[in-house]
Amino acid sequence: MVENFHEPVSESDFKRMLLELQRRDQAAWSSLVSQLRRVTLPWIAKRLGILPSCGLLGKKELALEIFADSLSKYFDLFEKGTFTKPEEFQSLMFKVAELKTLEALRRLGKEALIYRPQNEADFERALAHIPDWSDEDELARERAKTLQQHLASLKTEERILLQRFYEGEKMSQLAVQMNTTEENLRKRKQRALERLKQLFGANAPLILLFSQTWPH
Amino acid sequence: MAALKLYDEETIERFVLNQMPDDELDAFLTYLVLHPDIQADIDLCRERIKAVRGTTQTTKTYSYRKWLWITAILTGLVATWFFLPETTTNSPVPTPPAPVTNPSPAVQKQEPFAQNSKIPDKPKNEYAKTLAAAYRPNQILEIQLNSTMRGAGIEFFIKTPAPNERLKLKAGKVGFQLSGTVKQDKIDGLRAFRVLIFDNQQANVEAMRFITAYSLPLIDKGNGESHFQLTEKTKLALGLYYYIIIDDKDEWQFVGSFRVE
Repeated sequence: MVENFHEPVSESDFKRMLLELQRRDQAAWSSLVSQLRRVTLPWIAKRLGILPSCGLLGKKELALEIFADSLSKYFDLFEKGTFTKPEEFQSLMFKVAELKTLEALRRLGKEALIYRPQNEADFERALAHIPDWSDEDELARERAKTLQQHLASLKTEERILLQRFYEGEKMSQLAVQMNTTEENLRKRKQRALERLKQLFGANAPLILLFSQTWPH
Repeated sequence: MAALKLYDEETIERFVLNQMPDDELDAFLTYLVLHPDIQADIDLCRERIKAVRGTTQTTKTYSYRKWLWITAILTGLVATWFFLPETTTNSPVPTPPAPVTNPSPAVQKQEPFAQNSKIPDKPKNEYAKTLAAAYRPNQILEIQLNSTMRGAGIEFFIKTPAPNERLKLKAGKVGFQLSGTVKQDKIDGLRAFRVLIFDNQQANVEAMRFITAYSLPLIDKGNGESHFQLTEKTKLALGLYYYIIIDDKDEWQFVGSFRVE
């Protein structure tokens, strides 16, 4: 298995790795993912570092999202047999990350429109600056609006709990501040999320309908 | 490597919120690559988090606007004389140092729009396109516009320029006036900020290729509140510009915009 892409990799080792990856060997993918995370994730985070913030996500959260998108692209490229030599992969490694970073940056302006409640006049005005607004974006905005309505219908304490948790406060801190146990807060949060299930009705992804067991 | 035992909301939330230790993260990412069907659940979780955060941030913005209106009504009449340009010569504001002009060639390229420069012989529609590009909003900066950065312990209330104010170009220069108040949580707060002026090009913002920088000295009003006033003639071309107020650690504190017409 190829251990480090920063060092020269022999073609035979690389071909063996390609076969393992195309066979979807878990150990081979795990090794590749680990190496890519160590190399490209800090690179993406540095790339975002210039921005004061990244919309509704933190920089590290957005960097991770971009990295996960990049991984999916690497997977496609390996599946298609795009790489035959280690140099080809090394040269494309950062290009993919760069492409996904730019895509994410372009999404930020749209996300501000999708997820921040605003009146229709403001929305129309803001939309004028986003020429490539698609039907998919409009659908996402409708979903966000519905989700916000459901959020508003939650009990105040449930809403505040979700808000503070998603703003980055830890359950243990919240439990101390709210004078209760961490377990109790987890249950309350779970109940709040259960209520939000109604939002997507029959088309809800399974995660909202059942607690699944991680496949072994 | 830690084995992932549960594929549940909490695991996905910890992934989206970047709260996984490295070994668990590697295992989760590997699973994600090999089982892309869980991407829908991840997207849903992200949607939910963004929707919740969006609502909180909007509430904050609205309360800020309300506060701003009340402040403006109560203090506007009394304070107007202080902020008039005519009074600046006698005001106790320290003279800011000379502007630092960035010699970036990328910025210099914008000069063809200066009012006193000769317009080259180009087709009209080409000019219209170039001009439109000079006024095109920078989507990344627009998100940050007119709001104090979160968690900074510093809050700005800008009097001038008004959001997206139109400044008139005279002899290739505009009178840029930045005034307002700032509240700082720290008792021993900063005594001066810096203002950087950028054009609308994302590449210039990312590379910190600002057009001009000014010092923004603060005048202490007590209770952690200070006011500031800066009046400078700045050489700019037609277009949309952003000013970014930064602190002594180069952290962005406020982003505003103005148009040069």
